[in-house]
Amino acid sequence: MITTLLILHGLLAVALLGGITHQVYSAYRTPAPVKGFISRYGAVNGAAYTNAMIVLYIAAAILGWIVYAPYRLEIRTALEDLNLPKANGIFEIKEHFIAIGMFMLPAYWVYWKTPLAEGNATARKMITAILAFFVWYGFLVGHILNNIKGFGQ
Amino acid sequence: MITNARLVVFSIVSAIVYVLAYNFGWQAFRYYPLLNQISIEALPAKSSGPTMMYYGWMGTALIAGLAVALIVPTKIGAKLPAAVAWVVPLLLVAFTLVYEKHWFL
Repeated sequence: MITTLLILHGLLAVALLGGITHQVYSAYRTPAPVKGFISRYGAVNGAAYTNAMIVLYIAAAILGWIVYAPYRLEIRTALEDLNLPKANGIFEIKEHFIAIGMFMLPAYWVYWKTPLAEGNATARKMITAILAFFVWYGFLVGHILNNIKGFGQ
Repeated sequence: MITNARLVVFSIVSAIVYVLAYNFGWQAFRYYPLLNQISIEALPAKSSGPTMMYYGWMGTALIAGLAVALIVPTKIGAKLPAAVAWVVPLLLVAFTLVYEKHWFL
């Protein structure tokens, strides 16, 4: 059951990762004629991603919080036994980043609300970039930790 | 516009309070995964297994964020520069990295 939830957590994280990377790239992209893969990748309507990103972030976080308790009992204890404080450290940072990101979601929603306010462009870009950083960090750390010690190993 | 100001205030305050909560141990409650039990008070370590504060820190931050967002006059909230909404999280990231550096030393 926990492994299933963890896989679902990972799949939601992949969808979130893809979406928010698209959005952050589109936010920083200077409008220009679309040519080739890179410019097409960024030439999306960033505002259209906002609600989906919020739903995905919350859903992925809730699943993460559910698997966190078994993680605390099984994985973290094993990492301590294996004397891997850095592995525990990167996870501690992940939990803080994901929580801070969760609390940032209302502001993220406000600054992406259409019609987009030109005066809030910097805030919009920066908040999205910070959230994208949290998502990427969380995804990579989760992957690394799962490689070190997965559930049921 | 009023709702927007409250949402931004909530974001800023709850994120700050979350960081303060894990720094100062202001958890609204504790969770004991071995017992599958939530408790306001600390339970004896020998029989209760590991304690998880994480959910309690988020609970504290949620309560504080909601309270301040409702209390702060919307005129003040609306005057907050948009930069606060991203400068504060950046500072909290920096604080978190410094706070957790002991794992890597």
